[in-house]
Amino acid sequence: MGAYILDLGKFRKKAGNTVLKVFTGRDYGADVRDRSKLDSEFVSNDCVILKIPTDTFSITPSFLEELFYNIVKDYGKEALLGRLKFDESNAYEIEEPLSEAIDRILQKINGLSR
Amino acid sequence: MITILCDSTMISDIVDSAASTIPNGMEFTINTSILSDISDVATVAIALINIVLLFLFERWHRKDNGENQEANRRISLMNTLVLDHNMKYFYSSYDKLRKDVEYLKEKDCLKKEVERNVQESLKTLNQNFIYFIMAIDVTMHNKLMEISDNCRDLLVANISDEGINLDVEKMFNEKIKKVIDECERKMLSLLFNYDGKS
Repeated sequence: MGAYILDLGKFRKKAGNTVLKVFTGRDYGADVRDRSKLDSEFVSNDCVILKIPTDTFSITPSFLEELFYNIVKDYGKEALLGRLKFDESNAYEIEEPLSEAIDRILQKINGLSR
Repeated sequence: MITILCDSTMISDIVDSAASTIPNGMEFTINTSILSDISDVATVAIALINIVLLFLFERWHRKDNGENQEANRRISLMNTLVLDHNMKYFYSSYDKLRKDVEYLKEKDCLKKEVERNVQESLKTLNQNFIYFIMAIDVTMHNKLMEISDNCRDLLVANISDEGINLDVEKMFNEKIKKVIDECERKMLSLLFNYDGKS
């Protein structure tokens, strides 16, 4: 058990020759979650270090919601926040969209359990 | 008057002879008896089918009435619990969003700041308006959230794109104003067409 580094830079989309600077949309979030095997890495490591490319312009809650959905559903908000760390090089302030995404996941789970 | 005196043999012969001369008449009697039975059976069958159909119709009618009552109840609750109190947040969020993006028309605007404000305005829309709709209709809530997210995702993508000159009015109108207008229109259309049925 150690640390798993989730480097979002490895999963950036391209539009022609241009690398996109945004991480948006549920489909994209689900794709990164699956390709990075985040769900299993979360379980088998002490922590997950989220590394965000320095030139990232925006990350929206829809992306993060899908990225972390299974973890929050299976282990809860506290478990995610306990194990999720942020790389020192991160310039983008992800706390707000991440908080919003987690709240949405919890709303969805509570809504389904009714 | 002719009196015929016959012995028993003769009478028997006469009866047999009479019977043999009217065979169709006897069959006719048998056929009408069968037809009458069939008619009776058919009458009972039709009566039973009518009863079943009546039962099914009554059941469907009650179910339909029940569903309509439920739909009307939901529409009424949507109006009184949510829309009457929260539509102001809907419009104020869009007003703020439009104000936020106006800075993009300036040549050297701080795009990061605009991005942050755009996210904040749409978050406010979600929290102050869309969230409460979940209490009445989860499907409607999810559809509105999808529209809101698509708007947010598209706006930040267009703002981040250095190939789009948003200080040019035509570009701004196409990539920013139109996106916001379309988002608002879709939400209003959803709300207007809400029929209470999920």
